[in-house]
Parts: sequence; C-alpha cells; structure tokens
Amino acid sequence: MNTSTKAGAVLVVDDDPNDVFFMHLGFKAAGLPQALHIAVDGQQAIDYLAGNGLFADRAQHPLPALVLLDLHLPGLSGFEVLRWLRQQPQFQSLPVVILTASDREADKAQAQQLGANEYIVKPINLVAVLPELLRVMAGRWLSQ
Amino acid sequence: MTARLQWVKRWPNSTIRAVSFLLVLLVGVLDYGTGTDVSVTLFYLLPVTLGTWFAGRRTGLLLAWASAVVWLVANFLGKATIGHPLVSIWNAIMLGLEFVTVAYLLGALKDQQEHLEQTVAERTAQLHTTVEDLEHLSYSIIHDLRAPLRAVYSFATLLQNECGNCGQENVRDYVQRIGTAVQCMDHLIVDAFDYTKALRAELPLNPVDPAALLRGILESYPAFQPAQADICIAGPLPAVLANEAGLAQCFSNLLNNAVKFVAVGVVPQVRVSAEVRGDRVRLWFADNGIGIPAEHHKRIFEIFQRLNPNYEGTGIGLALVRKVTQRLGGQVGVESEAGQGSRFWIELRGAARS
Repeated sequence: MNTSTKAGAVLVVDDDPNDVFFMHLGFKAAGLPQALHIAVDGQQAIDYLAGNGLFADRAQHPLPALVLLDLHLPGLSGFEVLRWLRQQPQFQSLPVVILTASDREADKAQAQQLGANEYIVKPINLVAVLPELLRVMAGRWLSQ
Repeated sequence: MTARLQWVKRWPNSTIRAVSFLLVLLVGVLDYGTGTDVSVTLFYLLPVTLGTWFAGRRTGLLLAWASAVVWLVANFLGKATIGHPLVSIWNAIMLGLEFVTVAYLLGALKDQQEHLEQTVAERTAQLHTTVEDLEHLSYSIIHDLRAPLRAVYSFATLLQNECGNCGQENVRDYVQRIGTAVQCMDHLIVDAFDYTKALRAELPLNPVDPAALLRGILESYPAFQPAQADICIAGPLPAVLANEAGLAQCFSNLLNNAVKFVAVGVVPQVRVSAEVRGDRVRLWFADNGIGIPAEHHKRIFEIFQRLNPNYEGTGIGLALVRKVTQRLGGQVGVESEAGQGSRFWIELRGAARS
C-alpha cells in the first residue's frame, strides 16, 4: 500500500457541508492524527484518488489510507466511486467505509457486493457518536 | 377455452393449419360415411374454430370454404343430391357463409381479446414504472429531509455542550427543545415512510412461530429487557400464517405501546397468550398500562391519531399494525377501559400443522 504520509490520510467523500464539518470536529475530538481530505462529489473523489488535475501534487493530496464514502452524491454516486476504486489494482485493498443516511437493505447489499469494508448509517445525533465511531474505524482500518 | 388449450398455442401456425385441414377432411369422411340422413355439419365448426382462434382469421375463412367444398363433395359422392345439382351447390354456399360468419365473429373476438391483453400488459408496465419512480422519489425525499434534521440536531447538541456552563438556563432549555422537536420530526418521517412501505411491500405468507419471533424481538430491544419491563409469553403460541417481517413489525409496535403507555413509576407488565378460534389464532397482548376509554377504541387504529399528549409518539404505530395485519388476511382489536390496562389482539389464520 502506498502510504506517503507519516500518519496516513483519510479521504472523506461527502456533499453535505454540515456532515463534513462534523467529521472535522469528530476527528479532532477523537484525537486522530490523520490529515482529513475532502471530496464533495463522486467525480472529485475519483480525480483525487487518480491524482488528476488539481490533485496531481501528492505532497498536498496524499493517497488516503482510508476512505469514508457517502452514497448519495451529486453526479457520480458513491456506488460508482466504489466500483471504479475496486477496478484499480492499487486500490483493491484500500479500506472503504460507507457512511450514509440510507438504511435501505438494497443499498447495503449493493455496497457490500461492490467491495465496501463497512456500512454505517448516519444517526440523527451524528456529532455525538462520531468521535467514538471514528476511533473504532481508525483502530480497525488504520492500524497497519 | 384458451386456458385449457394453452398447449395448442405453442404449435407453429403451419401445424395448426395442417391439423385443421386434416380435421375438415376427417369430418368429410364422417359425413360421407354416415350418409344423408345423419347431419354432421356442426362438426365442421371444430376445425374452423380451431384454425381461426390459433392461426388467425384468414386461415379460418379458408377453412370455412374448404369445409363447404368438402361437404359438397361428400354429398355428391354419397349421391345425396336432391333434385337439381345446383340446389346442393346453393346449400354448400349457404353452409360456407355460415362458417365464414362464425370464423369472422370469432376472429373479431380474438382480436378484441388480444387488444385487451396488450392494453393490460402496457398499463401494468406503466404502473410498475410509476410505482418504482414513486418509491425512488420517497427514498430521495426521506434522505433529503433527514439530512438537515441531522444537522439541526447535531448543532443543537453542540450548542448544548457549549452552553453547559454559560449560566443561562433558558438558553439550555430552548436548545434542548430544538433537539426534542427535531428528533420528533425525524421519527415522524421514518414512521410515515415505514407505513407507506407497509402499504406496498409484498408480504408472502408462510407459517410463522410467534413465540420464536417474539423471543427474538424481546432480546434485541433494550426497552423490553427484564430490568425495564416484565414481558412473558404465557403458554404455547400456535404457528400462524403470516409474513415474518410484517408480523415482527406488528409485534414490536404492540410491545412498544404496551411498555410506553404506563403510569409514571409503574413497571410495565405484558402477557402474550394465544386463543385458538376455529381455523384462526388470536394472539393477545395484555398490559398493565393506562388503558383506553371505549369511545377511542376505533380511533386509535387510524393514522396520526394520538390520544395522550403526555406520551411521545407519531400516531402511526397502531395504524401500521392494522394495515399489515389486514394485508396478512387478519384483524386487530382491543379490549380496554381507562385505568384498567389494555388487551390488544391480532387474529390470523393458523398454519396447518404438518
């Protein structure tokens, strides 16, 4: 796995600015050292991971060690990002945690089938549970 | 006729035509063999009908005239011509026209039927698309409605944390009220969505063991644990014909109500039992709650009806129970008086024991 930064980076793919804000708070509250990088839609997530255009500079936009992926995104959906990601040889074992508002069984099944490592439904008290949730996720997927 | 002759439909048209013409010849032979005294002209209608219905109107018309010709030949060969030979030809033409009329009417009927079948198929497909679109739409609405609620609730939580020591009790109170209101709306959205899902979900019926289902529910909800509530399953519960997911929703809604609507300080007690009524099984949920005055017994099963403002709720739980039970071919009801606890029941078909 390509881990160019010391602590590893986390890529958050989410179009909801509030949820992104809570994610920043959660990371801080959880005391996680990883740098947080944000993509606000599916295409941007792919561009980030592929190092296209604005994201070509890997010093500024390092490859993530973990992806937190929302499903309902403008343009390309989270499913499409996940499908693309698993088709790239270098990202086949990159941990992807789905963090979505959808509790549809069909969505969960599709995400798992496409190779998501975890599926978490955003609760209404997101800000309250995020620190603990992120700690668990970091322990599980960033320990290597 | 078509239902029973489905297998004929699978034949190629050429086979149907060949069989029909062969039948015409056979009837001709029969006609010749039975002589003039016995009329078998009605039998010609068999191949005419068969050909028209399964191979089309044109084949039917051909068969009609072929039948008339065969009849004429059989009559000539049987020397059954009465008087002038033209009389027989005239009769054959009349017979042919009768067969043509039958073939024509039958063809028209077939066209109508096919048109109707096609219309039904088209409308069904349209309906399916509409339902799928609506389903997709409602999922999107749910998602889009809940996202801002999540933000409001989370910011209310943050404000409350920030204001923990700000000394302004009223501000803390307001923020808490924002959180409660938002949570209430979130429940409403989820419950309303569950209700619409229950309206259209497919609920295939299978034998369900209510006791096993109940035990699973009791284990998975914190509010049903022994420390919170005293819930017991009294006696054996016979298997019922139901849908497990649907019935689980009914059970958990009834149990939720039973443990919710109790007087302050009272530990909820719920007793689930069964009563066999002929081929049906009535499952009773008796509680020690606040009870329901008789005049409200009907209303509580209607959607968005709430009786007591002191208890949280969306007014959807019992409506959902009724809707699902109805869709399972069952009924719901309640026996209760204010202050006397309630006895809710669900009645379903018993599952035949194997």
